[in-house]
Amino acid sequence: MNQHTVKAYGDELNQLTAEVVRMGGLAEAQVADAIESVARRDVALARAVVERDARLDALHRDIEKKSIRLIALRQPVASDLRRTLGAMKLASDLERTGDLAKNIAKRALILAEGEPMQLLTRSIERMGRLVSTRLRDVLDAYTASEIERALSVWSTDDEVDEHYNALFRELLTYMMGDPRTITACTHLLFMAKNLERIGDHATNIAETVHYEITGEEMLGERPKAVPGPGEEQTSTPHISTPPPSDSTAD
Amino acid sequence: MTASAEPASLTRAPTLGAHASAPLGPIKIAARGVSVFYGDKQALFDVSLDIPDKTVTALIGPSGCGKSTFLRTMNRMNDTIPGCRVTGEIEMDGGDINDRKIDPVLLRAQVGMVFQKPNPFPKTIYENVAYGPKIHGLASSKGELDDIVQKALKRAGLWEEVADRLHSPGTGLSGGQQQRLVIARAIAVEPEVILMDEPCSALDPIATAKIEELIDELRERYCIVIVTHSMAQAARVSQRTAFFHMGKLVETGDTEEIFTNPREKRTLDYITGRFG
Amino acid sequence: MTEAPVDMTAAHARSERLKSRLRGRHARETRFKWYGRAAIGFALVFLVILMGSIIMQGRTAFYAHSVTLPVYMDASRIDRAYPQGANFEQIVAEQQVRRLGIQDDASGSKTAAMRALFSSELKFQAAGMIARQPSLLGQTVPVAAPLSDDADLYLKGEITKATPQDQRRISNEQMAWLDRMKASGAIRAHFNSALFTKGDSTQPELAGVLGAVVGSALMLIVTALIAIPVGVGAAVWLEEYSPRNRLTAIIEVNINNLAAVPSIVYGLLGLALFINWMHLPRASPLVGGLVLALMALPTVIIATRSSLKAVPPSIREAALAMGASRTQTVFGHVLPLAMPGVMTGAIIAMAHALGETAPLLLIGMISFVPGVPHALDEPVGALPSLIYIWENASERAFHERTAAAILVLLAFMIVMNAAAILLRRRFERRW
Repeated sequence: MNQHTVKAYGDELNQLTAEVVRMGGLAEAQVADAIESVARRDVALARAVVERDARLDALHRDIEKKSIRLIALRQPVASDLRRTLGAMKLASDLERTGDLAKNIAKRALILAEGEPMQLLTRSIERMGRLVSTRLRDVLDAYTASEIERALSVWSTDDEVDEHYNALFRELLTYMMGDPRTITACTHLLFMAKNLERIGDHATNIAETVHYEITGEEMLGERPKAVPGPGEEQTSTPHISTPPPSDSTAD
Repeated sequence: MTASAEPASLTRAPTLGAHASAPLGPIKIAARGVSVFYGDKQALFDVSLDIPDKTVTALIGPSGCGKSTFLRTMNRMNDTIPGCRVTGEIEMDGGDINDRKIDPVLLRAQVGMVFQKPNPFPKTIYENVAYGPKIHGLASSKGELDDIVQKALKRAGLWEEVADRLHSPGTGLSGGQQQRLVIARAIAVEPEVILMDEPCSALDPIATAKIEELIDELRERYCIVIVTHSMAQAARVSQRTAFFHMGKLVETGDTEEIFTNPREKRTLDYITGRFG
Repeated sequence: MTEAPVDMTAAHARSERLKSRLRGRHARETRFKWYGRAAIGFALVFLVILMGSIIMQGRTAFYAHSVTLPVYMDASRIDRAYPQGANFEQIVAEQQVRRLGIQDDASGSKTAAMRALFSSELKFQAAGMIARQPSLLGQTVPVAAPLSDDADLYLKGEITKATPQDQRRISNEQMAWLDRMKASGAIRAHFNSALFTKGDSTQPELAGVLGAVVGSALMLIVTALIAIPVGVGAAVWLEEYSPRNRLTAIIEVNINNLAAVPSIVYGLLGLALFINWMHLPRASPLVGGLVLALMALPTVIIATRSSLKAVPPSIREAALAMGASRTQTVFGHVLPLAMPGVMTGAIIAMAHALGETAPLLLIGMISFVPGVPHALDEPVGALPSLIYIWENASERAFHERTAAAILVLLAFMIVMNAAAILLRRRFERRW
């Protein structure tokens, strides 16, 4: 891509993108650390996650401000406009991800006071690592503008759902077996829910990346696992048939 | 977009904004393989473009890309330049404009033009607007002529401001008013097409906004083709946009598409300011 | 922050340099202004000298002396049926000699000397009076007539006793008579209306510029009628219609050259073409007008072309885009806007034509033409050639009249130029 004739414009766009990448890295770290604090019952780590969330919020506000300024002053069109809007959407998704990670860390603090539950926390850990990987992949796709990677993240959303459904059943069984574990299992259940939401945000980010690169909305249903009895549908349906991926952009 | 058989852009459902909500009209002017030569130098290379009726089509592109040249082929103003040669077909209402047998004088009563610098005749406001109807013999009495003048001035949004001084010189108006006077003069002969060559580039933002509003109103009756340097203006005012570069037509499409997701890299580079 | 002091000295040095240059530039400007003033002053001095000398020379031509004498219409010497045959000059001179109490000698030389004081107009006046009113025969009636040119010159102070008597035209005796007549009130000075109401004459006291003025006017009309339409039409064709090719380039160059051709060449052309080949009447306003039209044509064409070029192309484009044909555009829009320049060019061309002498000499307007012309095919005089003729005439009285005629010609030209300026202003204000 050529440089903008007005260099400052290009610089501002690059700065915006860089800040989003930084925010993404921070969010990734939050999620990873939150999972770790659950697995290792590490109270100090959990507290650190909770405190660091403020930085994510600050970054979100800053990115929004920068985007609005760019739109007002530069009137971006086409790819530049999509880039600016994409940055805003990503920041929003990443801020929610950070909140969810903070929530997990808070519950980890509570869990750490009780009895260790190796079996269950290991399941959480596994789900957490999957979600973490997906988040990392989609953020790499954003940074490198790789549409294939974004698409692969988008199309494997069902894996997270399957983990969630399995964990759900596992925890129910556990709770039904030993009523003393209900409190801890409930926390674990919420954590699992949060992880599933983080997975959804990763898919959102994948869709945003796709729109930013191709300028076309992603058409098609997100692949979703069939929910078990009592589980709610969380996806938003899209219209028509899935598109062939085309290489119309540079 | 995915390739489709019919001209998808004409039947695609619009999405953004009221000004794009009316469906595009039938094709008013169809240019096929139009090339323009100034002596030995070729200025336009094989341009084929459809201009729909009751629509504003914007021609954008860097300086010297041939958009003004193309605009002028549609009312044969290039004929007035010595050494200029136009090849190809330009169909309007079933006939080829470019045919030598067509009288350009009559053509220019059907296809009006507004220029970059407002150029009212050094006559009164009334005489300016009445000039076209007079030379084409459109009014059989003074009363009829008065009606035509009043109607044209009202349609151009100038009547309120000049009704009490119709016999003062047209050159005494402000720039924006002069441009509206010129537009009134052009529509007084009831053309079917109005060509505008950078009509706002000599005007301040308020006058520009008034002209853009006027263009929006005129769009309901006339086919309008506007050449503009300002992409923001093209984005605001038009429903179809064509991007020219170095005498070639690079891309055509709905304005919305061109400005959110153009197909060609050159178009993208131009509209995002990456040229040069 | 080490940059600041360096910048200060650099800025200071720069402003010093600017200031020193500034002084030089102001000095140069002041000098240039004085050069301009000196040039204008120089030109004004020459203008004053020129005008002054002409005025000094010609002012005396504007008044003349006339004498009113009571004349006894002697029926025995005047034929009632043919008064013109009577020798009125002799009658009046004899009566005046008697009235002044002068003893005439046997040869009648005193009467002859008295006769020389009166213009030949006297006899025509008297004869005319009798012809109109034959009943005046036998009565004494006052008859007024101009003095002869020499008498007039004496009374204006041009002939003085300083010159020896045998070299003068007025003798001491005649001077005394004139003084007596002037003192008695018979002679009075008045505005020389003959200068403006009569045509050329061999007698200076009866000579006027009217004939030449009318002749010049007739010629100018012919010139204007030919040069202006043809010139404007040619310029319009060259500028608006003709294709830009080799042929039109050659035409352009030739027109520009023709404007610089010496006017006498046009005279030769007129002689060869109009007089010798087409056998048009020599020295007529027709031929004169034709020759001057040829001369004025390049000027009109060039002035019209540059006025047309000065009309902004946006007007043409606007008219063409409205569906006006080329002709409608040119004659309805471009030419009216170019009018100020066209008119100025035309009037200046006419003013030049008015003052050209050389071509007129060759087509025969050098000869003496009495009276006032009233047809296009009669020989006429023109102002420039009249001035030439009068300058070469032997009578002394023509000397002052030449200068007067020059002043008339200059007045003509000033009026024409003023008309050009006024017309231009009026047309420009309209748009």
